[in-house]
Amino acid sequence: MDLIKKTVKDGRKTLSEYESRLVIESAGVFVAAAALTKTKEEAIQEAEKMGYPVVLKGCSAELSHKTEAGMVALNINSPEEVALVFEELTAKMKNLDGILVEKMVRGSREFVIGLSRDPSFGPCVMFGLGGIFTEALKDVTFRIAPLSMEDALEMIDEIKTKKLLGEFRGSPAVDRNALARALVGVGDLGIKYDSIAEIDINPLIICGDKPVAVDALVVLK
Amino acid sequence: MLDCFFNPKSVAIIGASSNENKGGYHILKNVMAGFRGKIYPVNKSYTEISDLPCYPDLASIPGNIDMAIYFIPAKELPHTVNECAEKGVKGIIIESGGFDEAGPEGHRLQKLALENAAKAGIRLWGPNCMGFIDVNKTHVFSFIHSAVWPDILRGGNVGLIVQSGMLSAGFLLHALQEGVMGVSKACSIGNKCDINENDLLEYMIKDKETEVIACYLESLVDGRKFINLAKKTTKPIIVLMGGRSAQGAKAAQSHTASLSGNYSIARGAFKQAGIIEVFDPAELTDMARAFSKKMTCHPVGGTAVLTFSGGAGTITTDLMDDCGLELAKLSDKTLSSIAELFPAWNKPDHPLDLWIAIEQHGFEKVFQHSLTAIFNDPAVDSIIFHAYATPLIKQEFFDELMAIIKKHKKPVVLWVEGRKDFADYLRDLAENAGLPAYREMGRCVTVLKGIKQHFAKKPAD
Repeated sequence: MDLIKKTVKDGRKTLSEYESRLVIESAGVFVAAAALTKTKEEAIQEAEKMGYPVVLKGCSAELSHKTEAGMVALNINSPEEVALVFEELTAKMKNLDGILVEKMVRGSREFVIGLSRDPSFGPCVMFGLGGIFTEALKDVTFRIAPLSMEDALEMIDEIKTKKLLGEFRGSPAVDRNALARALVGVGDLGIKYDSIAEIDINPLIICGDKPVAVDALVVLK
Repeated sequence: MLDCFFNPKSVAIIGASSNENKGGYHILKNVMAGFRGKIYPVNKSYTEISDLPCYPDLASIPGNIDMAIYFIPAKELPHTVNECAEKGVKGIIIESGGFDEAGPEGHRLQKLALENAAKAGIRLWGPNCMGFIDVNKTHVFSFIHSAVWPDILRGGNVGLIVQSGMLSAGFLLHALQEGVMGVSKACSIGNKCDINENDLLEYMIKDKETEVIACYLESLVDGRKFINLAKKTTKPIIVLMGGRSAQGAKAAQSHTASLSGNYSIARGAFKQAGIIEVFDPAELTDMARAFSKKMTCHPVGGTAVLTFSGGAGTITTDLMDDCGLELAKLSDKTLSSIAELFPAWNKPDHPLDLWIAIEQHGFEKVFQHSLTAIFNDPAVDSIIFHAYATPLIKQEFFDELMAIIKKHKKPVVLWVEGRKDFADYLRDLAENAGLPAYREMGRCVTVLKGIKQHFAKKPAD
């Protein structure tokens, strides 16, 4: 993808969230509907188009910890609110690429997908439980890229909290093939682009039966 | 590529000794016991050892040398490698320690020796290892005590790659003394400064004498290569990985200077490559022993459990559930066939507790009848069979059972319970017939799990 080559050429180490989303989307990962906006009016227009509630995020390659920096505003429900938050975020930080308006994805089941490079095994894909219990349960599994669909399906069955991926408390079972395709796709990115050091998709929210990436970070070597 | 080690015509032993307390004595003794090529002891303190002329240095040796075994202090290695180069030596097994595992000076010596070897095109095996034993050829190129192996060495089809000296010797002696598993090559690779697990795995995959490969490893030099090699072979590969925990990784680092790496990744990668992972040395040899019997399996159904004890059946079923091994859903036809030997007031259920029938009809009849019914049930792909240790069962029983197993391609793993002498007797009968037998229920379950995992593997092109 030209975006990665261009970033390498520019001498940048990270992609902005917007750019990262484009990369993983090209690999077959579902991402929440979003638009990068430059003006208040544009932001309102996009929010109206995708329907409320929406999320507004400051977007810049230099911003890898958006929540900690106070650059994420969730659950925005009106054009007035969009305008207000847009002003707040742009005032907080200079040199933003723009404000990302994103459809708010609802789902109580959160997972993570990662790509890393191991000194002995090379590019590896990680899949596991996300959300607030990630650290406590460390329920993750790895495979080395490239992954076959069988490898990816095996990963899904391997985590201890796999029951969350089935029918759970009124939510439908996850589309396993869509999830497996996302894992395979992330692994393929690691094989195709030697310049990608890591990818972090966290959280990946199960929305209905679809796994949807709500935040993504691509780091280059 | 490794022929200089596995098929040498001449061997020099640097550090040969006539002192029985020294490793150099046992290396020479071991080489002399089975190696039919030229043997050159090297040690400036002797002119002769064990009726062989002993040379003060390599340059004094009259003939060519294919391979050298090095067993003198670490500091002499770099210049000895150069002397080997002048004699045209192709490979050196360095069995001494004091290298990478021993700190900065050892690290420097290992690095220098490796550079000298690379310039001369010499392959280095070790250092800090016990060399290897080619059992089928009776090549014992190791400082293992020369009195412990000759009476139990037994050739076979299991190749061992072990990153530990004493453990490889221990493994081997234990496995051999059990008398039920034959070994092709047992290789101790130590610090693996040059020859590593990938070289040996590649060699053993091609080696006609090796049909099962069992490894103990503390690190993977190039994990991706290891996985790619494993993916392509149909030979079962069993790995015991050391340094899984943070504390274990620290131990591995001082043991063989290994950086264990991320175990979670290794674990996933092993699954991808169809590698069977085990967690202790006895499990490694027990698993290898089962595969050495050349069983086949079409893992399309569940496992049947035949027992003479309801308790044993329950425990086995629990252990199976723990590791995801499924209890077969026996057909009504199978159950009613087995019920023929049961009294009218009791019906058999799965796991099959056959005791009531045994009381009435005796072991052989009940086992034979129920096994035949089980084998014919398409829902069954494998069997755990609890055999009560009794001298009443004879070799013919197992020979007949073996004939049925071969016909149906459904592996049977035996649990032998009862008096030790009877159990040993029964185990020998079973193993002689080609059936793996164990004294622990848990082991039967893990072994069968390994077998099913292996036969589910689709080797890559």
